[in-house]
Amino acid sequence: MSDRPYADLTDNGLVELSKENPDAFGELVARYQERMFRYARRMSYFSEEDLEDLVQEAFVKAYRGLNAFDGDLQFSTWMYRIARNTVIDAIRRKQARPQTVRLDEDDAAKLFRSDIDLRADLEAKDCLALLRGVIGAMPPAYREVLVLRFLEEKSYEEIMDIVRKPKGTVAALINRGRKQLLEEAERLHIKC
Amino acid sequence: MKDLSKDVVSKIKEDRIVPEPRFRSEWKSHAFWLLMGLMVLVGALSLSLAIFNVSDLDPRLAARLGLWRFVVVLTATAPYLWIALSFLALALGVRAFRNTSRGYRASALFVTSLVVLAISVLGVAGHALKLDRHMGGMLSRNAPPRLGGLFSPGEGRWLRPGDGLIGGEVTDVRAYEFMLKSFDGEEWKIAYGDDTERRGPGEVAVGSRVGVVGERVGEREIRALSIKVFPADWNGKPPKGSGPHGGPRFRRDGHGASPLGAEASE
Repeated sequence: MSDRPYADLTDNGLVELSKENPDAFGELVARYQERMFRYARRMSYFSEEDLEDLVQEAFVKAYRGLNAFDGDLQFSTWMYRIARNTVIDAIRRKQARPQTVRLDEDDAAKLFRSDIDLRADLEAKDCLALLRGVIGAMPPAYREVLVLRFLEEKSYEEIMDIVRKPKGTVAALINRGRKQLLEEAERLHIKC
Repeated sequence: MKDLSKDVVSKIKEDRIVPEPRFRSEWKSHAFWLLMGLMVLVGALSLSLAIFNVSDLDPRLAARLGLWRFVVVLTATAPYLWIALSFLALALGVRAFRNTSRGYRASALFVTSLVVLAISVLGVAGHALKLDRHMGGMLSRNAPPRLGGLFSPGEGRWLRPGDGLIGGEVTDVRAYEFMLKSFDGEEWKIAYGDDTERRGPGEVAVGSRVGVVGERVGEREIRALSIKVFPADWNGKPPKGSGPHGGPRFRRDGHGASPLGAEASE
């Protein structure tokens, strides 16, 4: 028997089935756990173990709220929203702002690349480390939309549904965030 | 990372977690809809009271008073409390709408326009249905004396003899003059002529309440350029007396016809 008996079902079909059969929800977890883990890591400064607990908590919350999922949003968008709220709650519980977010060097390059050409030689590790610091120090409101837009590659509409802000506000935050990122990089003479 | 699917399913089964009923997940959204509706009603009522408090300020007064004095009177006696409350209700209504389940999707301009429209339509309807008159009167009667002017600045507008505005209850009517007990309890003699403009329903009679626009010609005497008879239930305070609306509707001039009744036009 297959390890994933529900693999052929759509997300919406799995949601309906999961209300009666929690095993079907396991398939949704399997589909989205990595994305949620990566997203939570990019949004926070928690350890791997804490992140796994957070992602698990987010999926359990999603299961509790399955009746509120009406198909108006994609399941992934809805899941991102729950994960975001779970991470924010966890940060508040710890009563600390993220000091250094868990962006890897590829992430830093992705946020930066569309305006400044990356040198082919990406051995400039110090430079990308500096850039990561700049991104990590940005206000959370900017950082989260930049992460969603450029790292999670979400559309403006999806970001609007995840952060529950109007599309115009999302667009403004992305533009201002990028501008701030580039200005700060220029001020620190970061030219990766 | 490790595979969480088995852990999540095990936890759901062990803790016997079941999906919550939909209303439990969405009660906040419903509460914000309710709050928005409440704010629209509060805004509409405040707007209605604001309209009511400026409705006696006919733009034609500007011609009588002069534009500058008209602006001064309007500025000094505008219903700031109701205007501020309307704006506060608008802001809270927009905010509440934004917090409903899909409220974040609409643009700020759209939401604001929607709430402004709802408040305006209901506010004007409230004014047309005279809800503001009843509410204004109730507030005027029950407000602490010091705050009366805040709730009903309309009466204060007619207590500015220096600007040529005086209002109150008619206590005696003679040919080409009548006595007026102003809203603050002082006796005034009002002189009028054939050229005095008459506005408002009913006649100038003992017990009726009027607003006079004119020129101060003595310590307690004003020559009227325009006299407005307020509706019997203006500001919710029926005139004192024994007539159907409190005051006798006969005139006590005893000196033949006066131009006041004859020229009643409204």
